Amino acid sequence: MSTIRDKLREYRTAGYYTEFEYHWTMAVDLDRCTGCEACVVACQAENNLPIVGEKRMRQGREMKWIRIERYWDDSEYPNARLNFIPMLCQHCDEAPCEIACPVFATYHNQDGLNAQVYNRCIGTRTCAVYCPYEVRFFNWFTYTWDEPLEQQLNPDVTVREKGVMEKCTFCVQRINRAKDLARDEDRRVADGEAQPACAQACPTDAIVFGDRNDTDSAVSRKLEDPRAYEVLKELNTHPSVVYLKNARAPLAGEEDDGHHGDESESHASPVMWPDESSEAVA
Amino acid sequence: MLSRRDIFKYLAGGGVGVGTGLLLGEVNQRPLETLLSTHIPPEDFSPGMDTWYNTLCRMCQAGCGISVRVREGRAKKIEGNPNHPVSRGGTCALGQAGLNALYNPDRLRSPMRSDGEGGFVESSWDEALDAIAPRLGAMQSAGMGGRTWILTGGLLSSGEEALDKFREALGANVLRLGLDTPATELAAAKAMYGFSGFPHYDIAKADLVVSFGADFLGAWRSPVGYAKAYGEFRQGGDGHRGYLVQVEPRMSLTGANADEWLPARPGTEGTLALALAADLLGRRGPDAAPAGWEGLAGAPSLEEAAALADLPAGRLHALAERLAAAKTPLVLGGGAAGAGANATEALTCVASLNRILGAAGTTVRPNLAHAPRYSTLSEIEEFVAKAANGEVSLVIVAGVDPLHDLPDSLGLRGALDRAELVVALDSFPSDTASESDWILAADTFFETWDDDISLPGSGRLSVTLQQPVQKRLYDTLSVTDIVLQLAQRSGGALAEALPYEDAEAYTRSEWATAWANLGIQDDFEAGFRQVQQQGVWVADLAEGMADQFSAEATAPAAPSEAQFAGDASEYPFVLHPFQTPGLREGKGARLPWIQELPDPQTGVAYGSWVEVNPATADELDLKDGDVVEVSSQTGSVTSPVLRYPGVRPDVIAMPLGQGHQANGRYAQGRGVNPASLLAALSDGSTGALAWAATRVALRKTGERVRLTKTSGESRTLGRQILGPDDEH
Repeated sequence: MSTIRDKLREYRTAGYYTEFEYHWTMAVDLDRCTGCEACVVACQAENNLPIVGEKRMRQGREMKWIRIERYWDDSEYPNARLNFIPMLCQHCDEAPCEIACPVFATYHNQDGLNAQVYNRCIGTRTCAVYCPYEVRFFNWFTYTWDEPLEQQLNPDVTVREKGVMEKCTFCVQRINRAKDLARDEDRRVADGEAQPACAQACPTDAIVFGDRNDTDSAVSRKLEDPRAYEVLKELNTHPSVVYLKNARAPLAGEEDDGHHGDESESHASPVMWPDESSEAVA
Repeated sequence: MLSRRDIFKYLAGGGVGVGTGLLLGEVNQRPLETLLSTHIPPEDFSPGMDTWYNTLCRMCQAGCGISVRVREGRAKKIEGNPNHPVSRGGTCALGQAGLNALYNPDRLRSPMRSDGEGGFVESSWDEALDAIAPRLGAMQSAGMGGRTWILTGGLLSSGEEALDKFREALGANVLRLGLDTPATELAAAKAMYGFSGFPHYDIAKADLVVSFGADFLGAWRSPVGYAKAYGEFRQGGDGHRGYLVQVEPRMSLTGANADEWLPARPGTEGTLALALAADLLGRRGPDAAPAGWEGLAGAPSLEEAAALADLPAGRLHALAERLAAAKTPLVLGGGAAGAGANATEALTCVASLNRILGAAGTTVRPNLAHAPRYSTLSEIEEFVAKAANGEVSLVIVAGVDPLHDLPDSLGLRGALDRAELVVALDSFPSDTASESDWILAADTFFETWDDDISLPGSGRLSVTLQQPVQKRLYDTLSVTDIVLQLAQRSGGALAEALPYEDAEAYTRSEWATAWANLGIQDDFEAGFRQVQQQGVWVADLAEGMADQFSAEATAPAAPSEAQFAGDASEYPFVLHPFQTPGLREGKGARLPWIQELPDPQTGVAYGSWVEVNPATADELDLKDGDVVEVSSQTGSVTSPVLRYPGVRPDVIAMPLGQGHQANGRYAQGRGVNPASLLAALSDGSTGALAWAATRVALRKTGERVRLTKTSGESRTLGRQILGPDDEH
């Protein structure tokens, strides 16, 4: 008979999670994503995210389980390019946050979800420090809603209080609802039946969600795309969120140019057009 | 009675949650029956179960179909309606935040009467209507209806139609207001396609989209419908990937997603398009040109256009080649390109490209012919002049907030001050409503009946039904109800024109009449019930609509030189006001989810900022957060600087939508309103306000603030976050 200590050791050994009943996976096509942020508000509405207010936001305490990160490339005006990438909990199969939690408030569930048990959480915030994706949010305060905004709250989702960590759940309430229904009808959850709020809202269908165990599912097909990659793959976290790289070609004249352009030229004029001399465009 | 033990059982069931079906079935259901035994719930109300209603989103003018999740009689979540031909199941950030309007703590809860000292006191519907209706009745019988002015938006819904019938019966005047109205776009479409309506742009089918100023992924006309199409345009699955070129002085959300962003000098878009048109005609030979189009009189060469627009000629040549090589190209025009003093001429040149490329009829298709007319600047001036002469007795403001959305230079504030009585029909104490004598508290769109014909449409005839998804939260009436009640209480022709009990009866009657006119003989009740379920009525009348596309159009004329208000030496920058996907012209500012939503491109939340090109900022010694005074000939505002690499060095850009003087706790006093700076300049052809043609000066105030901004590092620093080899 194994002791709790043994179980703990086993649980914290890499490779402990190998098979899941459903292996929920999200594919985000960055070529479709426009950065419109419909997903951000949809998540806020579905998951009872608090309105933290301007003051807290300035203190860096915004609560957004999914956010749009923006990255400028290294070029200057007029060739500067902006890239968007939605960032949310990656539900890593080798999650750094899970091995960190002293009380198992964050753990891996039977579906490969990285779950957060609010009433176990004691607020050490270690998981947030360990997370390389910065997608965990701590409730420094008990946030309230200006009446009657609280009437909108989703009855399927717990309202969190001061002292607990929270993050994206892949809308576990929707997954559970779909699983309940499927179980009642003695079948597996059909592809597309469980959709997190962000995927459902997305106006460009950039977010595809489904079961990776089902090789015919839409998300499994996305994983085969040559553009598919994992963010910070070198950390071996095995994320359940896979991105499809934006297919935009580099601007003409930039391919051979690894640095910020010729110094003497950039002093001559703030407006630099690398392809001014050549008429070729990719 | 519910015993203590039952309560514990019930709580246990709730706590375990939906993961345990067996427990739920055994524990959760019986106590709930006991709980509700004393009254009979409505048919569609079962505890713990969702009810979904398909209805219409009224957060902007796009007219998307939504599905609202209702639980225990309260709307909980908005989703897209997959049946809807425009939005096809998608939603946008603003649409998602619609529930913030319904449950907004600062919504008006009953009719309000001004106390004459800037405050308001609660009133009742009887008191309010009895204070207004007798005046209407008196004006009507004296034939002085012309002393009433109705300030409202476009004319696309049954509710707006009711207001128009009311106006007609009274003989009143109307102003159809908005900052970014499609007036110039409609005029250009009429000139080039011979079609009175807003064209349907089939972005999904295109392999090349060139957009002159139209931020169709951000805030232009129908962002959700266009975004749906954009997804297919980029990765439709048939192997082709569409190529997007965006021509605009400030990188919009669409510009940020474009393959090429061409920051043309403001006001030169038309000339650019004309040069491209002439170049394409030259390539295709004289036979391919439409009759009378040979040579395109006054068209500059690509080199001349490039010099004028301050773009490299190489880029324009490449663009012309792309256009010539594209199989299904599509050219769009709008936004700031449709808001200069030469806007209609410019957009006509832009639309002419679609004619030459054969896009007209393939990727540009006719829509339901419906051309709302918006008021010209001179009509607004006429109203202001009449008000100054004391010839305006009553102003009814319905669904618009002109004191915020329109420039101060129009003089509307003074005009409303001088009008004898101003009545606002609004759900919120908007900037305009707060200056009124009466605010008649209106429903939100979740609580009443209406419908909408989407202006950007779907290329098919579709009408979206708006139906209540829950009971009214407060003592409010819909705008249509108020209009009907006022008409009934005024008597005479007004009562005869609008003999309906309420908005539901009126909406049903409008649909019944419309169907009868179209020769649809089906059982109305059954048909209407089906529309209630689907949320939208779609009819395939595309055949009839195609006839409205004229086969011929006259060649576009060279656009006149761009005019700007303000001297370039004194006001060196062109002000580029833009709409963010959340705030738009200002409707988003009262919604806390939108205030807290970082702007997609800059990451700024909760406020305003001034985008300055880094080179210009260096010249003026401006860093992020330096507060500057932005002044035009007619006004000035102060706001912090944000160095933005996506804006021309001779242009400064500011987001619209903030700077409210009222409008509830989330909006009031937050940020500044660049619309207030705009000069009263109009487009030469349509008389529409040219909102992108004001010059401004920048002055550093010395003050510095920290922007509320969410983004961290703006470079990937070799972390390959955007994919393998994303860095050089």
